[in-house]
Amino acid sequence: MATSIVEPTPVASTTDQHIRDYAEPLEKFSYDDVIVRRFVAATVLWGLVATLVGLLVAVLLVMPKLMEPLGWSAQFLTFGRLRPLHTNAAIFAFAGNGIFAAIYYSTQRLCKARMWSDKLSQLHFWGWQLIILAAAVTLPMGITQSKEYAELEWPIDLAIAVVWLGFFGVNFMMTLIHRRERHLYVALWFYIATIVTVTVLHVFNNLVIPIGVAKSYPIYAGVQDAFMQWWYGHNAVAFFLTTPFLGLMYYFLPKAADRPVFSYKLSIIHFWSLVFIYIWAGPHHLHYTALPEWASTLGMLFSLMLWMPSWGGMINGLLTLRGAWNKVSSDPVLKFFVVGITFYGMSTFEGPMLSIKSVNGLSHYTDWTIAHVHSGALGWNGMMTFGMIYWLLPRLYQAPLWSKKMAEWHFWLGTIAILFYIVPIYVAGLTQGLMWRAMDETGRLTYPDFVESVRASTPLWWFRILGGAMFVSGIVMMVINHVMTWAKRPAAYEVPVYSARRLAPMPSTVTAIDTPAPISKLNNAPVLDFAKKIDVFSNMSWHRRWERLPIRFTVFVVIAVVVASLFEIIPTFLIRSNIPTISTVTPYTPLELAGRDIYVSEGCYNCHSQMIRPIVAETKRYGEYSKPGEFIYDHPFQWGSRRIGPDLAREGGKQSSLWHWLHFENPQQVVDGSVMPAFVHLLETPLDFKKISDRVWAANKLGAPYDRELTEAPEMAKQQAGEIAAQIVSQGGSVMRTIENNKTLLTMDSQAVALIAYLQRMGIDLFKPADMPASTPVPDAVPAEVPAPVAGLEPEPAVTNHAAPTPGDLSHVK
Amino acid sequence: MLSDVIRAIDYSDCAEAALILFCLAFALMSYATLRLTRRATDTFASIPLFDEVQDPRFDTRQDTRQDTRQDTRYE
Repeated sequence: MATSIVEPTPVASTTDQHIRDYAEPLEKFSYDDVIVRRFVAATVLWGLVATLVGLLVAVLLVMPKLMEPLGWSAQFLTFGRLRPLHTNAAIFAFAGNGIFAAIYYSTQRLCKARMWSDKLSQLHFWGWQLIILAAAVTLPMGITQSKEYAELEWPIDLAIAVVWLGFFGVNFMMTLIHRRERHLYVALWFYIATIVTVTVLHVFNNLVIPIGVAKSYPIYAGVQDAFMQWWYGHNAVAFFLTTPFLGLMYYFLPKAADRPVFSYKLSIIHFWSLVFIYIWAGPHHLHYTALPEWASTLGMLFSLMLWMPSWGGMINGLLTLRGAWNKVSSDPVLKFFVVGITFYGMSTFEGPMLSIKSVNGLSHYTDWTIAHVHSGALGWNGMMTFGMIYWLLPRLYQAPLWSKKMAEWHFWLGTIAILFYIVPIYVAGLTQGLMWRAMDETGRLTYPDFVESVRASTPLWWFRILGGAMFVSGIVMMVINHVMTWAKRPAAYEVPVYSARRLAPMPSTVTAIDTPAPISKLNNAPVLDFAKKIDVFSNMSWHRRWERLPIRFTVFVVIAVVVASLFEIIPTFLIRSNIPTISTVTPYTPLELAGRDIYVSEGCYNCHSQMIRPIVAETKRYGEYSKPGEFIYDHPFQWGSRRIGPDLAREGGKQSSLWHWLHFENPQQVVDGSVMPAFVHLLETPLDFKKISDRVWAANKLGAPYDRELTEAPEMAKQQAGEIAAQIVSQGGSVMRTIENNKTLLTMDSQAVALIAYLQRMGIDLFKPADMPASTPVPDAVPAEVPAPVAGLEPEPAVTNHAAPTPGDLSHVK
Repeated sequence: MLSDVIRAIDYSDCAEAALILFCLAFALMSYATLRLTRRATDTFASIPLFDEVQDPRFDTRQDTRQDTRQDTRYE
């Protein structure tokens, strides 16, 4: 490692502050680029992994039997288990490492200081990679909390909190405190907002009761859990995929263009507007659901307001290139940035548009959302990260970029790939939304069979694979460019050593370069002292001072975020009328609890919603719309956000138990055109009845009023499993199944029976009279317009410990 | 007891109160931003262009900064 000394330029000072500064000792320091190199390498590696897994899940949608030749191992590679792996890898592995690289590189240079602790930097890096590996192992194993982008179980969540706040946050804040640049540049503001807000979101969305190392239940239920999840989910997009990338933009774009940001004032307004507004917008993910109307409307309004600051930021970014557009034509880095910022503008226009209730009524649960997400993730996050990496590679490895031409190819291939990806998915989304709501002149559903929309989408999903494959190819080019540039690195990196004085403490009377002292212009005027004080206040010099006090600045960001959150959270949790009591809604039986955990573990929520919106086409297709009080025992909620398969909120009693059994064994044998994979392992894996006691204990702790279940859960579960198995056998199913090594497994002992028990329970409580005795057959209370069942598999009354509904009678909903 | 008090509070005006709070905070922040002088914003905006400490750090009245914007040796 060679060092070069960069001496400061001595200049005569004129102000008191300068004199104080020059009294400070001269210090030597260098920047830690080792950590940046590591994060860049990790970004490139995980970018490839995340997109490859994305490509695989896209293929699984059109080829659901692709993994079947793998036999027993196929259960780890289903769409439901791999889709969360793809999203987590893209967000936390690719984008996460990308923003860490950006933050470590830019923070040191904006603060003119080395990171406070090299050890914390390294702990952060290796800790984060271990977390990613833990996610890569646990998610395919079905170890999940099932909350989107917060799937990881509690031990990993704890590790995230320690690494994020304990290693990264502390190191970052201490670097700010020990900086040598007086003003905190706006990029650092975005980083501060990222660190504090993600901490708050992560902690409060992951409050759980564990029953083991790999299983826990959220303390929130139903509507409240949904609210917390999308408060987190939306703001994970805001504060993990937007604010740090804006910080990246405000640092790397001026660097690459070699000119300052177009309007610094606009960047400040951009920052505060986002911090003030973003946190409110989460409820727009829950339009027309059982969330209270006021919260949904508030979310929509603030989402619409987001459009203005977002476009302000986009315009600020693009105008930074004023007078430098000639460079764009020859510099791939600027090309990536221009397309990235343009996609930011597109996504932040589309996001507010999708939050409008009437638009959302069409787009929600369809591929439109997927197209929107990928235009943001591939276009904004991807292109900005790629631009940054190509700018950093020659500087970090101190060698020219191996192939500028290949970088250009990556740019064009990536840009076209995004279009190939999103255009067919937009078309698929619109197709699905329109088909689901289409009704003929007699008021009947035009496409009553859900699978018709799946069949219509399949050709478009093939186009998506083409776009995805092109995007992955671009990343392969970047991997090659990265490795080859690294190979040309010098034997020893040159490390410039800078020499500068420490920042002298700033006396309270000196506040800013533009307002040296807060003296009123009215000092000599014949006015009240109060007027002079107002005049001083309106100078806003106090604000300039705040901007350079990192701890106080951070506290203000926290206040902005927490106050906004509490305005929505407190009413959602405390207004009793938000969740009307339904006297007939009772806790799940022990077997149903076990079945529900299998539903969660298999990631069924990735394809099936459990939320019927009060929209005519939905009530016709699925039955009575969902009520908030129906979900009070749902830990976690399972409303979902996408319908690749039909909604299951009123699945109970719609199909026979044998139908479900055959559906798990081979979905295509009962639904022609289905893209659901087989879940044969559920038929061949025994259910651990002993563990059900732990589930019942946790549910009881969380408010479910159990009695006999607390002591006799396994016995009760076995009894119900026997009844369902008897039903399956009476409908033509087998008593037992031969599994590996010629062993046999009784139908009643299989995991599938528990899942069937849960499915048969879904949505039936609402209609049963309160005084109906237990174990009464449950007919379909509010029939939906569904296609005729497969011959021989007509639904039969489900076996439950609950009572039967009376059609149309909802008087017990208070 | 505390939970009874909190539950008894009427939250029906929360959304309106939130909107007013937001508008006040936004107006104050915008006003503070608009009060920034051109000299200050130019100085702040130029921070990322330099990798080393610029002395004097707070006096933009003197044009004493060296143009050492970025290392182009490897481009």
